[in-house]
Amino acid sequence: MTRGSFAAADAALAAYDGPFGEAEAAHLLRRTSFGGTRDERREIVELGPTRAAIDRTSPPDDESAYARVLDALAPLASADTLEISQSIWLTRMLRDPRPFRELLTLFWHGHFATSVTKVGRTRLLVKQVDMLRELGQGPFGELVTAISRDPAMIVWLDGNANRRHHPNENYARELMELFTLGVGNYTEDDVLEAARAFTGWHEHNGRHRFNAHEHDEGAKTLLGRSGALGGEDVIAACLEQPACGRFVGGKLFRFFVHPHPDDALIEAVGARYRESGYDTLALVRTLVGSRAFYSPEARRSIVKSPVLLAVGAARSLSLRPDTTELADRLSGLGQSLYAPPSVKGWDGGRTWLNAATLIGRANLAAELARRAAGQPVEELFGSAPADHVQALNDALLDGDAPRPLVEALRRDSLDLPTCLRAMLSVPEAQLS
Amino acid sequence: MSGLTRRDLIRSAAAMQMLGLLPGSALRAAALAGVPGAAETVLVVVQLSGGNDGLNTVVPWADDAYHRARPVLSVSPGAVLKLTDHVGLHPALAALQPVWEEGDLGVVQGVGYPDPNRSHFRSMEIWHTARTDDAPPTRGWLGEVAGGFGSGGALPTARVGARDLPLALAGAPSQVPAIGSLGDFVIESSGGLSASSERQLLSTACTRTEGRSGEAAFIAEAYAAAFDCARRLEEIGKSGTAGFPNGGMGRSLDLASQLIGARLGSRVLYVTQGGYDTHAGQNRSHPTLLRELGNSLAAFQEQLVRQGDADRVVTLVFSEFGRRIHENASGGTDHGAGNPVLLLGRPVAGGVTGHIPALDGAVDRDVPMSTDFRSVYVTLLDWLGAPAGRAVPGQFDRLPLLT
Amino acid sequence: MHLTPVVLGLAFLLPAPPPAADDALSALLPEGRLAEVHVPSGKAVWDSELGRRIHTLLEDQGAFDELQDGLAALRMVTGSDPTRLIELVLGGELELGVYPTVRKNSDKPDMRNRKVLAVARTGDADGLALAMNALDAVLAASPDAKVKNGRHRKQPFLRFDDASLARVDDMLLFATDQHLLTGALDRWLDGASDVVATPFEGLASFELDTRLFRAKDIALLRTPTRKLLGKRLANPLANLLFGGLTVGEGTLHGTLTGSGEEIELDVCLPPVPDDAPRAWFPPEPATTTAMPVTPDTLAVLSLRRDLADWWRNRETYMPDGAQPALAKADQNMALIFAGQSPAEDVFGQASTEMALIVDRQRFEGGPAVPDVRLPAFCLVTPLRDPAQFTPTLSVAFQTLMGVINTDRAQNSKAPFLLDTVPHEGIGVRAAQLLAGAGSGGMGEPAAIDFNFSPAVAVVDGWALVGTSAEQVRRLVSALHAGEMTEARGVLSAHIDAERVLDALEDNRGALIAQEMLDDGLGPEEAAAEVDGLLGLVAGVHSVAGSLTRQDDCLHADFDLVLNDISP
Repeated sequence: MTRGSFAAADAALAAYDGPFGEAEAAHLLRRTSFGGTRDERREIVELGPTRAAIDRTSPPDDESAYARVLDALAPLASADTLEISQSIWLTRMLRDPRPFRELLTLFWHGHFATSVTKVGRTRLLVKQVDMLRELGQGPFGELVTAISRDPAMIVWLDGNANRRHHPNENYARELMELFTLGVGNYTEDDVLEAARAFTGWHEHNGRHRFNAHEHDEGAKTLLGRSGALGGEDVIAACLEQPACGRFVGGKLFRFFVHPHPDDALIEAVGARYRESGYDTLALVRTLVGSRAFYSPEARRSIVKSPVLLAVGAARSLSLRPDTTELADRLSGLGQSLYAPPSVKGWDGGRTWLNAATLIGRANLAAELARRAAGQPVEELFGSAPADHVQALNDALLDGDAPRPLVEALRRDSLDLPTCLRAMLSVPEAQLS
Repeated sequence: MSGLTRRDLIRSAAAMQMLGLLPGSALRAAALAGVPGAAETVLVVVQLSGGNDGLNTVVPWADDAYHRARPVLSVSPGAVLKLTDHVGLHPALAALQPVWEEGDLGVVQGVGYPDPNRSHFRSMEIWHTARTDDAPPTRGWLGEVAGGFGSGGALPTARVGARDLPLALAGAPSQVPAIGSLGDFVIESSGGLSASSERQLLSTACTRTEGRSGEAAFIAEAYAAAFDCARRLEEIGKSGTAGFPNGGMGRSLDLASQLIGARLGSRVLYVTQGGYDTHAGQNRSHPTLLRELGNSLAAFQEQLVRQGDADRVVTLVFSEFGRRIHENASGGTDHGAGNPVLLLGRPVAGGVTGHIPALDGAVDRDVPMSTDFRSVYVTLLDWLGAPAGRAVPGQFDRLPLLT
Repeated sequence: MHLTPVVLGLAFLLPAPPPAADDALSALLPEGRLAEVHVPSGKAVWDSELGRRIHTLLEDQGAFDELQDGLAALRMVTGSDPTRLIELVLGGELELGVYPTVRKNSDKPDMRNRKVLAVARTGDADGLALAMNALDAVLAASPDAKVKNGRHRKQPFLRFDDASLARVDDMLLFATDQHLLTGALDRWLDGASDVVATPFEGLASFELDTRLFRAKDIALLRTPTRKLLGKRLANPLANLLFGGLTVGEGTLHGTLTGSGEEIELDVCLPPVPDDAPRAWFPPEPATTTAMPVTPDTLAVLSLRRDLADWWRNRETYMPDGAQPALAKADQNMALIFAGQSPAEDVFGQASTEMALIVDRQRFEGGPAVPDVRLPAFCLVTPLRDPAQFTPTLSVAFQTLMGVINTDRAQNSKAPFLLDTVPHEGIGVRAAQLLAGAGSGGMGEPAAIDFNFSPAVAVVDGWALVGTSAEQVRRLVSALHAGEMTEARGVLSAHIDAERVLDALEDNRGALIAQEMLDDGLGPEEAAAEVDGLLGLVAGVHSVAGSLTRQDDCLHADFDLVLNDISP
């Protein structure tokens, strides 16, 4: 990471006012909505960067059709199996008119990574993610407090073993190391004291229960605070640290803008985030409307996670995938919803790509292509295109498909599914 | 109701045209190794996850203290498969008896490291990284010297039988493939073209680096390696080999034998078998696990002989820690320290080495260490012709484990 | 030749007359066939209830639209109407023979590339000739079709792609292999029509050579059973249900008859030899067996099996791959039954007559109604020694529920509470979920677990072991009141489609949701699909089948009774 200058950082975060056409609109759609159709792109061009940033991160004007979808899915919610829960979440991502809330929820799910493999009951994980959806846009402090009380999280990080006479530091450590501050911004003593402060934060029968009998009421000192500190105090202390703004703000930056911000930029983002009271929605809106967002180094800079790849392609072409099959493939690609590999979540970036997962991505493209073959072409593009190669190029790659590929597809007059498969497999398609 | 599922694969009969990207990895490795014949050597690492109970695997049947400490779990001298006057194998490992009689089975007792750490995770990290210091564990001992297929210079390595990469392989300079099963690498068809034509198209589209830069270029290179891997794997595994037991271990070693037989240039193959964390009811599961292990290893050795690869493959069987001498109240055993390590293969000098003293005087109710596991590692790395000093920091004696 | 008169001429063709019963078409089929199907009148099938249903189904799916489009295009291009040929051929008497191909370098028949020969007797030689000329014209006009005209002993035939066609008299011969066609022509020319057809009233009859299926008959049945029942179901279950079906060797033949709203399929499998495994063919009891049913019963599956023998000899009967799991099951059963031997003491207690009763659940008086409503399953069988086994069963049930409760506690799930509920003087041991988290109040969906309230009872020497206490109580009443249904033969099943429809409609919401997830449809479209499925089920009244051991064959019969769906 380089140092950079503060002036440059502030300039980078200022509202973007440069050229704003379909390429920019597609970029915004990918980063805030998984991907989008040609009509959505045109709407965004009309709105301009600042208003579009707000529009895409707000709830839709008319949610009634989506509400009907959610109602229709309710009977299966009690099935409590991982496959169904994954399918339902994917359906939300595919059908929500403004899926930003799902995208942000996915971010928080990777941040507060909790896996059903240890927690056991799928229901608890689903409720945790529902909570992340509900509180994810608001003050980060509320989110951290809620996650500290979340039954799935308590089971995951052995909260019930954290008792007055035998504190267990698992949660306190991850809270500081992975959720708020990052390595190097706290001491081992802070962890031990924080563990004492969280004693008694237990789970019982799928609900949070504060076990006062097991709570250590003694005096503690951590992160510059002293007193008979409880869990809420620890959270407040963490959020007071500038490191928290940098750590979480930096993660949001790397998720929404690009993976290589310099130190000054992180500093600027961190300061804004903290000073706003950790208003996540405000920060994201700033980020996705900023000059940094539309800079050349941000374009096609992030390796798409498997979910982004699949949902983005499906939304761009109004595809109707088999969500159960899709969830299974995404697990094979390394992203199993509700079951991240560890509390560190998904590392992302190049770690998504290895020999098996690249083949897997090409095969995911084949599956989507086969589904597309069963849909009328007007549904995929809004209207029947004269040249499907061009239409696919526009929809999936902003018109930037590699020339040799476009020539090969045209030369042999290849059919739509084959073209779709190829365009969704190429390296450019793996980048957002 | 729904259309094709990924189970309805359309497989191609023709191999994909290669663009001649990668030089023969075997040549590169030979050029770097100084030892004649080392270019061909293959190490198969079998990890028993969860902490195998070594005392019930390599049984000190002549030691009274063993029988006294384990009234329920001890293996009686009548049942044990005796190897020497002091130790024998659990009867579930009967399949390994012929391997022992051939002189192809080596047992090293009391393997561990000083100041044993009983945290399951910490001990695993130590065995995987060959480091006992506090540095954050990011590179495995094999990761230091391993690479993917055709990685020239590094030892081509593959994780076999599952999709995860154990810590031992982490940090490799180029991506080590995780080959869960051959099916993972089959390239599906979208239905329009013939499968081989579609693969040609994909190759053209995905692997060229001209005109690409940055991330896109990196991905193109990764695709090239991926398609290469897929092509190589497609050529093997058309017929399953008979004789391997049904089950995860059998399938993994079956796949390993196929990879070796296909001469793809792999030098290290990593396989795991889980379920050894037997805190309770050990007699319900441990013998079954050992039987699966023994039968699979024996079948693997036989297959190697049939393939003509028996002279160049060594199998290392280890677990990240042992278990306590005394059984617990639930018919199981808790985490302990020293553990035996098994070595199989023609290049192995058969016999029992290392020692454990009479268990009466055991330190802290644990099997004490007599051999540092890193000595085993460096001995094997030397045999592979890999830079042992880079993988395992520190000075460790080589052991006379191989002929 | 002007095509318009041809079209007009074709339009005046009469429909096919009733089939002539003189010479059997099967005489024309060369030797070596694997299977043979005979349809006396294709038109009768099409006009039957079954045919009408299929017609409606295809219409709804829009299949006819596509077909019409294709035909219209053909008509425009060639000026003639191919539909007449289709009606003529398919409306007449049909005979189909299925043959294996022999791989060139081995003698084993290759089942994958089966060759087919079909003969259609239309009863109208002139009409057929005209129609064939029209077909000729169509093919000649079409640039893509590679048509060859051949002659065999002066008989002309057509070949395009894999298909060969020839017309003799009023018969059309069609084969996917030229040698089959010429073989049939030979037999016609040489007058091999010496076999007289037996009069037959049904829709179709067929015959299969079971030598195909001898090897690994369980393997053959495994695949369709697995597809039907889902991959979680262990092979041992398929083995128990369907094992022993093909112990005999020889040919299998059957007939399909349809009348009004009932369609029956009768199959005669090769007879069971005397030394057939006892597990599947225990000696028949002296009296007919009957099984209890309740007003909510939607299916009854009865079996005659010697369970003790089957379990004792499982190493012979079941594949090697399943043995470790079976050994584990044996161990677990011994544990639950306090050390008794599963084969002797547990399975040995069951009589050879047993049944699985499937009921729709009403959830009256239970703690909560789950969102997804599953049916209840109960195993019923008379016991050999009820006095001795009742306490054993009771204790085993208690142990099992204890194990289940421990596992549930480890996963933060509510436990089952055991109780003995008196019902008509019988103590029914039942385990009920306690209402609490997940019971459906306050917007929480009701957990699927509420479908289960395991229960056991022993009444009048019968053991009842079921997943729902509600059902077990009703079965106790049924046994007291003598409400029984006959169980025929070695294996029999009866499905009451109306009850099944009720059970499906209970779950309409969940079915719609599942359809949305599987096919990416919106709520309205998914509802339309699900309602279509329910409509199909509504058209069925019942499905029944049985397998009976007779002297000369192992007789299987299937009976499909349809509901009147005419508007």
